[in-house]
Amino acid sequence: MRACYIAKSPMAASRELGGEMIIMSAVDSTLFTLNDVASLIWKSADGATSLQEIVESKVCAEFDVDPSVAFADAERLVGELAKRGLLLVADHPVEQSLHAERNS
Amino acid sequence: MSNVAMTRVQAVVVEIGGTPIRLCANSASFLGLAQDRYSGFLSPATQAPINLTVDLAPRPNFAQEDIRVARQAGRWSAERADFRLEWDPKTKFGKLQLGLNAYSLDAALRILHTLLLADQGGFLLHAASAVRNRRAFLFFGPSGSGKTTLARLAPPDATLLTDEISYLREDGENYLAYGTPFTGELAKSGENISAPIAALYHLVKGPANRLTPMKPGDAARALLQSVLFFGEDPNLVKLVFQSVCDLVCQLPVYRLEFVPDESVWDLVQ
Repeated sequence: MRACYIAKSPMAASRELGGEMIIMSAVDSTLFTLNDVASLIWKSADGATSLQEIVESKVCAEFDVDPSVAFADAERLVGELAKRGLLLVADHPVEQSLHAERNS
Repeated sequence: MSNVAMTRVQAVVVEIGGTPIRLCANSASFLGLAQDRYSGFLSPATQAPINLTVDLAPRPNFAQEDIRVARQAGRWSAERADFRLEWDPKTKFGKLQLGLNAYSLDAALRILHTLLLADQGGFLLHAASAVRNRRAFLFFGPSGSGKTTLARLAPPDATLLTDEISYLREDGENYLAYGTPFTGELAKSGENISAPIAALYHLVKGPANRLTPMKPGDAARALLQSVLFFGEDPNLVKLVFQSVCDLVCQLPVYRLEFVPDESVWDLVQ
């Protein structure tokens, strides 16, 4: 399996509001709302932790889900967010964007 | 012969949201238009920290049909078919080319205020707003949602800030709403005053008056649909996004279903 590292793009602004993760594309101002699993992956996208590790140590630890199913779902999510320019994806650790996510 | 020296007025200072902008023009027609348009918002000052030099274009026809706002090398430019604005936030000087048209001037000033507010935790919002008991109430939504109706139905003790474009800015622990001259169907300029914001209401026409608190995420999504901003500069988008999120964390936001009569104001406390 190829390594996959994810980091939030500097072209994305995000905020957790009342338990909901909202992301806005700074390219076209489109808004996205993530579900619980997707939020966890987004929050863990630090560029240093591989997607596999995020799924195994965070997603599977918090949700009752089969690891292979969770990983396949996570890959689809990452592909979708990357296509919209919200996530940076690489096969090696990537520098986390300077964009600071704020929680409330 | 009179000893009084005659000097030609060459500038007016328009102060919206406590931010004076000096419009300097070599045209008495333009200065007269600005003085009429912003009569409640003129400052007696002759200088201002922000200066725009205005050039009248007899028949402006710039390339952009839709508004285009962009930043290059730290300088902003905004262009629509009827005006072109250049603005340097470092020097606080800018240049505005437009025809003798109050709507074009309004649009250019709204963009400039949006750029200025973004760094101050503020933004312009498609909203009617009014002050009652020294607290401001904002009613936001798209065209046809009832902003002008709410303004028209306001009780005598309410002072109208605007029926169309509200001006919000963070101020320490409060958010302040300011009156604006930007009018909607009511065609009546707001009062040039400010007050701490008590609540915001997302307008929805319904069969009865009903007030429902909005969750922060729902409130942010609804507000972002009504904020005036221009999505071509990533930093600007991010600043406005975070300002809206900050606001919904601090102020109550309600969904207000209403029927168009005075009773709706009973819910506005």
